Amino acid sequence: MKKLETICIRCPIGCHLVVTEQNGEVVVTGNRCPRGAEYGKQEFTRPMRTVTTIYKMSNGDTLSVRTKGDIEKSKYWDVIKTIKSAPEPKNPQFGDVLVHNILDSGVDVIITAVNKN
Amino acid sequence: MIKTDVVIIGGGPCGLAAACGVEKSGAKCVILERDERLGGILNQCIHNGFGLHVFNEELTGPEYAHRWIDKVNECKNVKYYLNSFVYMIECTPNGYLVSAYNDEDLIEVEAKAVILALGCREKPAGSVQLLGTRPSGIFTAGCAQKLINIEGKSVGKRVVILGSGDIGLIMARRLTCEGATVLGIYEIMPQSGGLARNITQCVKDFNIPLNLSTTVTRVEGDKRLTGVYVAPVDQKLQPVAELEKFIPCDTLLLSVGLLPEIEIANDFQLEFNPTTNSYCVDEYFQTSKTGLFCAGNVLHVNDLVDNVSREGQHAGECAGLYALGKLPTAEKVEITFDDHIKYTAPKYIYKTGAGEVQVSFRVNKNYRRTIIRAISGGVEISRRPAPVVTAGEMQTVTIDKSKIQEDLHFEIQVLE
Repeated sequence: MKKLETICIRCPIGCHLVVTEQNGEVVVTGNRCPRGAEYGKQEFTRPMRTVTTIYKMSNGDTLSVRTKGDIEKSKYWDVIKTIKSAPEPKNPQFGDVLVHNILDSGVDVIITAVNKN
Repeated sequence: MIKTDVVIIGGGPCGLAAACGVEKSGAKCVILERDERLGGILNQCIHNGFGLHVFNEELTGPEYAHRWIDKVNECKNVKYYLNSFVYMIECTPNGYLVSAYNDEDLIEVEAKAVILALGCREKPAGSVQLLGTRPSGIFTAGCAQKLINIEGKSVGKRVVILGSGDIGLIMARRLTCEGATVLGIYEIMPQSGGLARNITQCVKDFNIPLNLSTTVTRVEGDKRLTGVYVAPVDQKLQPVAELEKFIPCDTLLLSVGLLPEIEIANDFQLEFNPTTNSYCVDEYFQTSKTGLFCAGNVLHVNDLVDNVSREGQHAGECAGLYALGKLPTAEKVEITFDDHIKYTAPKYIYKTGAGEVQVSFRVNKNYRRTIIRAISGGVEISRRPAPVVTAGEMQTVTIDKSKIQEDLHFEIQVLE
């Protein structure tokens, strides 16, 4: 039987989850809310993460960015590399998309802050 | 001189929410912020996980700040001054006079009430015993966070982190993503001071070694750090010298705790709580001096920014009502607690009869299978089973004020 013990990252409580597969069905225990059950199932089958990082502009400014949704954990580094080498935006603003549909994940990378330096 | 009802010192999460609270009360306020923009430390916290309680979604720090800045900009009676460093608070016949440097000018604001919303500072290198030289390459975690996230600089390539508070854990991930190698996190205590989820998503996800009951004993290097010595500690937290080993590295990050930034109000000799290193407040977040309020991380270090905002908003409403002469007062009840609990905030509650009051506290260590009880007049007035309570997690209990008699006592019943 496949079994996974992990900590839920969906909120600061950090529930200790035990995820098992029983008769083809993924069962989560230890969660205190539906978000935890969802997270446990996902972590068991296809772990996902939000990526946050910064993008450096040639004028010294930095942009804080994040993936607008979760991307596959296995693609974390590829996502970071793609963000870092994205073409430089002109006049970037809060909320703008820096990278559309990153690595065909269906998820955009958005600007969460523009830091003038 | 500017005249207003309430002066808020600090434009971070607490100050922004406090301004919204003052607006709601119908009073006017002025925020004095020392940085060149509002938002405080949230601006450098580019990771997600903020706002789940307040906005019911997971935001990054800058986005969370943005939401509150938008709210403040919608307020009709809130003004804010940036680049304004407050250096003095004095009493006047009308209330308080707050003086600040603003670029080359001085700003003086007179108000009936003041809210301390200054947040906290990181404990510096001087607060931990680090033997050896004083080379460059030693940063507090938050300072490194600002250099990397805001200024786009690199702090080093091979990094050791001392202390496992949340900022240290989050910086372990950030440094790794920016191409540095985090050689290890060293924590003197047998458990991490950070949230469990940060150990999962910042440390385990990146295979960063987290060494508990181990500390950095010495640093080495002439101009730049060349390495640190680490050693496991015994039960008295003393390093075991025979097991000391050298780790070559160019950078040491310190994540060893936070200190409320309260010095600005030192002269008032307010009732002080050595446990929180800050002032004692009543349910209005008012210190022992009427009209002087204190909320957010300057009152006690919170785990969640959402709680900081909640406190700030409440303090703002109360300060606004105070300035308008509408804040109800009544007989004070001092909250007492058993020895599982380290402190409560607030410390005092008024017997105004109606409504609810939220009481936050921390326990002294981790417990399993507990019941959190509140007792007044010999009667249990609140009871909540808590499967796990940890020292790192703030607990909050909501009390129905109509049930409060002459006293209010909190206790943790440990079943296991």
